[in-house]
Amino acid sequence: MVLDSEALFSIELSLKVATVSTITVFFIGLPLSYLLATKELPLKNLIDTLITLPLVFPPTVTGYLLLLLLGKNGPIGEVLYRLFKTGIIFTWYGAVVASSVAAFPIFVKTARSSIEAVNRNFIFAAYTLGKGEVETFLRVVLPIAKRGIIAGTVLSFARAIGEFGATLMLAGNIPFKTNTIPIEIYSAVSDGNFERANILTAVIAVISLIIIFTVNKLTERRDNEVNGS
Amino acid sequence: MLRFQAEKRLKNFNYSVSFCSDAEITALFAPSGSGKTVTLQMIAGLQKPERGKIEVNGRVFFSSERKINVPPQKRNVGYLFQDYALFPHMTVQENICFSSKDKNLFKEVVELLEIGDILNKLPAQISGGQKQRVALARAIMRKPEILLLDEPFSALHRSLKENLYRELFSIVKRFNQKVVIVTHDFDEVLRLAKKVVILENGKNVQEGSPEEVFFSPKTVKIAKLLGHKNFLKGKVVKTDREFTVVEVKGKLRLKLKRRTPLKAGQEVTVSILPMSAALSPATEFSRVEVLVKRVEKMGNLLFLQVEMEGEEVELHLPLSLTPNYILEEGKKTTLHLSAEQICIVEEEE
Repeated sequence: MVLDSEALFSIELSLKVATVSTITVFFIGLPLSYLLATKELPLKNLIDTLITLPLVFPPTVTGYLLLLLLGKNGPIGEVLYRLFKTGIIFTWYGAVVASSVAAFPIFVKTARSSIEAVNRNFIFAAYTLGKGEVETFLRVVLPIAKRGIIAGTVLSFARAIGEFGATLMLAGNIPFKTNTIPIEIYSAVSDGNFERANILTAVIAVISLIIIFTVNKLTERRDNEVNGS
Repeated sequence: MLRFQAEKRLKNFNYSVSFCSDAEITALFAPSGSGKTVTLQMIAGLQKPERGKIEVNGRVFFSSERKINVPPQKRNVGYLFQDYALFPHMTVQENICFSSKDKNLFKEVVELLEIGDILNKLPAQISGGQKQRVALARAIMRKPEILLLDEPFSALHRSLKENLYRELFSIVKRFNQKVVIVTHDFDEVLRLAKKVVILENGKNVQEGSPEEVFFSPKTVKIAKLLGHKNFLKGKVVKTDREFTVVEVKGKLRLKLKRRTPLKAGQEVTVSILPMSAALSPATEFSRVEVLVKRVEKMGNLLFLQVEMEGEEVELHLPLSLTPNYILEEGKKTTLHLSAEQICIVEEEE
């Protein structure tokens, strides 16, 4: 059978890694996008540059830098080893970190520009009507910018599910442990098993298309509602 | 009572404005980019001055000396934005009830502003005038100490403006509401405000009652902002308690209502308001010989370009009272200028 238990595991793992990464990116990226879009932060340009780096770096370089940071002797890795007696290198957590780092700039760039596009007077109006930052964000900014934020989330998921280079560097290619779909496709092609590669490619394409189509439909309808058409 | 004093370095100029007002409706009048909106934003706490003190009804909103800067949420100020800033994803009712769920007040405000039939609509589904009413209702629901209106009527049709002026007056009366309105339309100032502060490049250049400011502008520049057009230099030849006579070019004598202390012999700049002209004599007037250079119909007015002692002057006559055979281009005619409509521009720039 082409889709053996290893291939099925890779599909399940990819969905798990992409979902956890997208949730992580969403909850860290959204407040950061709001701050970057609306506040005069002292190190705004530096923060923006650091966030953008994974977009510019080859994924293997990003993976290598993460390996240096999170490895047993790395500044963050050492602390993690000391605290939890375990590391994230060559585990599925490593794949989550690699996918999150790769997807983060895509989410922040998209969410930030959609928040920036929100008329400042909406925010000011909410303030003068007695609402604090959090309530203003949740009740005014988020619903107005939701189209861009949802788009950013979808793109992040797509980027996370397709992540290969950094994941390979950080999580490796361990069957039944870190073999995500892109890694499984790579292995299949390396082994000359093109039928297996084709089917896994079709699986990843179907997953991506379903999600993008669903979300596009969802945002389209809501956008019409807001415009009253 | 609003006491405002603020300084801030802005991109185009150094902003430094101070005024106080106890009027029901105070107008901030200035051309675009003079710091009107900045002033409103500073009162609302949306912009922070570098130095100064802002106090509303005895409550200090900002004091650089005492390091007080009350956040906008706690200032209890109603703000009507120029673009209304109605939340596009909320219905009219949700917009109005955004700050308060007070049912009685809601009912009263909805009735007062006649917006009961659009409560379930989204802002994109209502007209400009309705949006303005909704934004006003939303601001009133906060029961603000002061209501700040940023050019609220600029995008609206004339007939609609009249209705909204009336509604604004009812709000002021019903809720005993103090209002600060920003505008670049002096007719609006004359129609609405009890006090006006004129701003120019971030400085307040004149303040007073709208009539006082309109008939006694401090400089030619201010006078031009207010719509004055005809400036003639002359000398005071006679002045009593009620009227002053100014002589222009040693020949033309203009009688005008005395509004500021003047001495005989004093050099002054006179502004002849276009509406001062009439074909028949008014109660107090100056009779002048003019050469008609151009006659143009504009709505219900006749625009005249005349030469008066070698000076070009623009005058307006009501079309209905002006038989068209009297005024012909290139011919001399006699006009009467009302003393009420001629004023002195206080200082030269």
